[in-house]
Amino acid sequence: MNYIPPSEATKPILMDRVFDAPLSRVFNAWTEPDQIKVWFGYQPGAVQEAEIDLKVGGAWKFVLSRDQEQTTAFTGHYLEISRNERLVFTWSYLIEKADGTQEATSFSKVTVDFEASAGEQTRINIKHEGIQSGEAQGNVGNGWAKCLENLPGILAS
Amino acid sequence: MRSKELLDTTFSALADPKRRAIVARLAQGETALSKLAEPFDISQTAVTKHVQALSAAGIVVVEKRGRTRHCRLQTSTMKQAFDWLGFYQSFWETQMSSLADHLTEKSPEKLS
Repeated sequence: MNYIPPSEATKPILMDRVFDAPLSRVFNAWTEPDQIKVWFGYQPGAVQEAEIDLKVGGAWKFVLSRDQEQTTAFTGHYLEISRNERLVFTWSYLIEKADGTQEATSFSKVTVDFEASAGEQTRINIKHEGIQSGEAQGNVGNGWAKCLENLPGILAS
Repeated sequence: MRSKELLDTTFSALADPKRRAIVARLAQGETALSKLAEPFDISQTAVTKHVQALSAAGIVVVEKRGRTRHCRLQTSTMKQAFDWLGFYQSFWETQMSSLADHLTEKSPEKLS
């Protein structure tokens, strides 16, 4: 693992899976808050609140943790919605502090393509692109950029 | 799991500016706990608390040698915390397994 300079966007993450469920059901799993809360997050039940405004430009927000000090969430906006075919949305990791300040990664972009497969199966293609490793670090920890100046050497060792 | 620790523990521990400053200081090399407070306008007790939080998150290692406690960065944790690409790779893999479980464990009728 090499340190990635702040300005450099990483290559996209690609994922391709087939699910043993019909197309509409798989699409709904991505677009209905009650279902998101069941399967999304690091482990089942990790998403505490899910808000989905399913229209182009509409916001989505999946809250991962909430305590007195801060709320952490994944959030973004929908760029493209084709029912049972495609979802495109922006993506950011967000920390909202109790004092009203926010820290967030720069937006990356997620494209999910849905395709019916033989025997009531559904294929999903996920592309997560524009993850800016360095910039994300700088934003998420406000003031991180300064710390980072010293890190390349350490990480390379 | 590792991904969860990454976001919840590492970033929570690093949310505090004083703790980030301590990490920046330790990035320059191992430092005795007693010397760590010097550049900061806070008490030794406060610095010790911050170091404990960083230690609990696996970011800093505290090692007692003789009477002195030495602090240094746990570089493996820092590497993981800084590798967002690796994080999202494993994140999406987890999501796919979780979605597969969700789609096969419950009948469609039960879902609204």
